[in-house]
Amino acid sequence: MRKQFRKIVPLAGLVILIAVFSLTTDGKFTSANNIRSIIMQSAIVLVAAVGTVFVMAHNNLDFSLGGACAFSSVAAYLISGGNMYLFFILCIVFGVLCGLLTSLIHIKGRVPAFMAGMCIMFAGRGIAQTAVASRSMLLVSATKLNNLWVFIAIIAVVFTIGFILFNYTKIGKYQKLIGTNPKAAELSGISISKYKMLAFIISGVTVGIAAWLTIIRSGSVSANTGLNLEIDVLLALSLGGIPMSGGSATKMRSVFIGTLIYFILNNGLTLWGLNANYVDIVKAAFFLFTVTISIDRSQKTLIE
Amino acid sequence: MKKLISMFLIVAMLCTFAACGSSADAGGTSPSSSNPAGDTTTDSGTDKYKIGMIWYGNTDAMGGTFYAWANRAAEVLDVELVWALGSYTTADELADCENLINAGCDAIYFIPMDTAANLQLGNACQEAGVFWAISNRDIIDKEIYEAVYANPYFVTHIYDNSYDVCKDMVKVLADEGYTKVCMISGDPTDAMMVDRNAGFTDGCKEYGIEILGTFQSSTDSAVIVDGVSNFLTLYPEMEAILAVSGTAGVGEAIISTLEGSGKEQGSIKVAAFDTFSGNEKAFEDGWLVASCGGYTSECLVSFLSLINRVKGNEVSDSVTTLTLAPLLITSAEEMEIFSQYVDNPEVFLYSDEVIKSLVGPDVTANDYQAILDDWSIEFVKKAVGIE
Repeated sequence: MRKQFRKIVPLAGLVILIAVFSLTTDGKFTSANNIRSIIMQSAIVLVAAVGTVFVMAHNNLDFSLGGACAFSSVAAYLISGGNMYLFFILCIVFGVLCGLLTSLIHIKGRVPAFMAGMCIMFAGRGIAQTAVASRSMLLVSATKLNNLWVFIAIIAVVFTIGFILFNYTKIGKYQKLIGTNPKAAELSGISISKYKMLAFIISGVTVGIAAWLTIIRSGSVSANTGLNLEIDVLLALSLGGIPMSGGSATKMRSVFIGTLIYFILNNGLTLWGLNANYVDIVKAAFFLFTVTISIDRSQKTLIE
Repeated sequence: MKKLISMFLIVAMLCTFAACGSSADAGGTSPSSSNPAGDTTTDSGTDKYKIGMIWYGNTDAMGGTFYAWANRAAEVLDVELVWALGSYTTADELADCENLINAGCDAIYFIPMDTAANLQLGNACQEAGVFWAISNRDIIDKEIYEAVYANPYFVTHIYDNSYDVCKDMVKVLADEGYTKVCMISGDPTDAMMVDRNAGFTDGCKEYGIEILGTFQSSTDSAVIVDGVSNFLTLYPEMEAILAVSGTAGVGEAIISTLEGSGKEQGSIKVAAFDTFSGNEKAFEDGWLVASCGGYTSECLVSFLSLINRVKGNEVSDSVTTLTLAPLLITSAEEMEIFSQYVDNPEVFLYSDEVIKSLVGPDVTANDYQAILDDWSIEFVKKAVGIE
C-alpha cells in the first residue's frame, strides 16, 4: 500500500499543481500562451532527461550534461559555420562523443561514472569558454525555429523513440536489469560494459538535441550554454519519482511528470507574483516534500 | 489509482487546451494606442500597471540597490513590480520574460546577459504587445541592433560609456609613471566587456603602456588567484594590473593574492572597473589606484522611462538612446563616499519628487540625459547633504 502511494505521489503532485494554479490565477495559467510557454521552456530539460533515464536505470548518474551541451554547441557552431541543419547533426555527433568519452573513462578507466561525468562537465565548459572567448557565436537564424510546433515535434519524436527503446528493446530492459542486479546480469551473459556504453551514447544523443534546442531559444552560443542542465535534469527526474539506484522501478514517465512539475512550479509562482526572494525557498520546500515522500527506502533497510 | 489520476490529468489538460483563448489579445495592441497620458489604469481596466523586472540578483551592491530603488519608485508612481531573479542565460531570461508576460505584465525591463537576449526577449515582447527597455549593455551586433531598433515596443536603451572611463583609468597609471601592466580581460562576446577591453588596450597604446600578459576574467575566484600569481611569477617587471571587472569576488581575489605574495604593500598597483568589498582599505594600503562604478542611476532612468511609456507618454518616435559615464574613483576619500552612499540599498539618491518629475507628458529625452550627465561624486555629496 505504502509502495503504491509512493508511486503515485509525483503524478498526484503534478495534478495538484495544475489544479491549484488553474484555480488561483484568474485563467492566466490555462491561457494558450502560458501553456505554450511551459512546453517550450521545459523542452530542453525533457529531451536531455530522456537519455539520462537510460544511465540512471543502470544505477549511474551523468553529471556531464551541461558541459557536454556547451561543448557540443561550440564545436558544432565552429564546424557548421552557422548552417542550421549541419549544426543540428553536429550537435548530436559531439553529444555522442561526450557520452562515449564519459563511458570510456568510467568503464575502461574504472572511474565512478559521476566523477567521469564531472570531468567531462569541467572539460566541456572550459573548452566552450575558451572558444567563446575568441569570437562571437551568434546564430540568429536559429531563432526562426523558436516555434511551438517544432518543439512539440522534437519532444514527441525523442520521447517516443526513448520510450520504445527503454521498454521494448534489450537496450532499455538490460539497463534496468543491470541496475537491479549487475551480478545476475553478468552471469546471464549480458555484456555490462556494452550496454552501459550504449546508455551513455543515448544520453549523448539527447544532450546534442538539447543543445540544439538551447541555441534555438537563445540565438547564440555562449560560455553559459547548458549552464546547470545536469542539475535541472536530475532534479526533474527526482521529482518524477525516478529511483536514484535505478533498476526495474525506473520509468520513462518520470521524465514528463518531473519536468512538468519543475517548470509548472516556476511558471505558477511567477503568475502568482510571489516575492522573488521567496521563490527558491518555496520551490525547495516543494521539491523536498515530493522527493521525501516518493523515495524508496527499502534498499536502505536491506543494507542496514 | 495511477490510471485514474493519469486519465484525470489528460482530461484536465485537454480541457485547458479547449478552453484557451486566442493568443492575439495582447498582440493586437499597437504602441500608439496605449492609454492617454496620465491615465493610471491599464487597458484591461485593472488598478495598476504591472512591470516585469528580470534582474540578475539583489544580493550584491548594484543589484540590491536597484532592487530597492525600483521598489521605492514603484510605490511613488503607483505601479506594481513583478520580479524574476537569478537568470544568467538568454534561455532563462526568455523563460522569465514569457512567464512575466503571461502573468499580465504591461512592460518588461531587463539587462541582457547576452547580445542575443535583446533579440529573443524583444521578439517575445513584440509578439505580446508589451513595451520593453534595457540598460547597462550596448548592442554590438549590427544585425541584432537593427532588428531591436526596428521593434516598435523597444522604449529605451541606456548603456554606460565604459570605454572612456577605462582610458581614464589607464591615464591615472600613466600619470604616475607606470609603463608595464598585465590585464585581466573580459568576455569578448559580452558587449559591456568589449568596450572595457578596448578602453584598456587603446588607453595603453595612447599612453605608451605595455601590456605584458592577459588572461580572461572569471567568476571563479580560484581562476583569478592563479592568474594573478602567474602574472607575479612570469612578469617580475609588472607594475600594475588592469581588471575589467572587480565584481563577483574578482577584486577581492586580486588584492588578497597581492597581499599574500610577499610583495611590499602597494608595490603593485591595481586599476579595477567596478567596486568590490574592501576597496577602501585597498586604496589606503596603496594597492588600488583607480576604480569606478555606480550604474544604478542608468537602471533607474531606463526603468522610469519605461513606466512613462506604459502610462501613455511618448518621449520620442524612436528608441530613446542615452549613455552614462560611471563614477571614476581615485582616492580613499572618494571611495568612502561611494561605499557609504552609492550602491547602498538604504540610501535613495533620488527623491520622490525627482522620480515623479521623470514620468509625465512633458518629460523629454533631454531630461533623462540630464539626470545621467549629473551623475558624479559631487552629485552624491549634494544628494546626501555632505559639504
